[in-house]
Amino acid sequence: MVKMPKEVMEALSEELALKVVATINKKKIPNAIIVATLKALDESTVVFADLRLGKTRENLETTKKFSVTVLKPNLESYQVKCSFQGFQETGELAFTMGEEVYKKVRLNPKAFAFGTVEEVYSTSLTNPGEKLA
Amino acid sequence: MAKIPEDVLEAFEHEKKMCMVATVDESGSVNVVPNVSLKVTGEEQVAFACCFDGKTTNNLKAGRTRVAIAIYKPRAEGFQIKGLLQKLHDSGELFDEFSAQVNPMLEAMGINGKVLHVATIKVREVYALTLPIAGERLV
Repeated sequence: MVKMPKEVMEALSEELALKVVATINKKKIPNAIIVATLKALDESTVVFADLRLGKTRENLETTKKFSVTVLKPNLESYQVKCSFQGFQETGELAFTMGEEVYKKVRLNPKAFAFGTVEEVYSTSLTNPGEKLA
Repeated sequence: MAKIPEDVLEAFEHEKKMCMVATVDESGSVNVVPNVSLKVTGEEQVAFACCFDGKTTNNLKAGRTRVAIAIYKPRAEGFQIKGLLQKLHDSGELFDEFSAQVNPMLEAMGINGKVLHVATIKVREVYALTLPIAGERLV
């Protein structure tokens, strides 16, 4: 099982970091969106809310993979490549995270998307492309 | 072809904007990386410097020309541009312009890199990325 290094976990939890989720459709056309709700559930799992996912939801269900890149204001950056596990609409985890998201953006998520970490890379200018896990 | 809207142009001009470029490799894996050099170079064109021979450059060189670009203007405005690679420039006016801007910046940061290519992207679609209109097509 691939585990995210500590610095990647910290970057994902940073409030001011930009987090972009990229997917592709059947024709291999990329789609990239900003997802402020994304966080690491543990070292091998990331999760984000479906607040208004359109193409991303469609792409996840079709191609079953996504990449998330986090960029801190100091330009430290990481890319986490994930396999899509599915959406959770109900259950304790969805309820707890739903409350967290509502406090932040005053919107109720439709569901939460779960991904398993497959590869981790640096995307910082100091060592771009270096595989970290 | 799509003319870049005024609010997207403003986001590009913002001093603290953050941009990411997504491309796709031969296995269908999407690669998304930050790019500090992105700028508007025409009514329907943006461009960015490729400073490392990494996955983005290789994907474009290999003819996988579809690109998605996310632009974030702090604190709560974002846009997505979908486009098509027009050309990878290895010389010429645009290449010199990017080199003059980016190379000194990399040097000042102690980064071992320089502008190798400049990718020009023809804008085809533009979307809002931030709530409450996330996903809405602007052009």
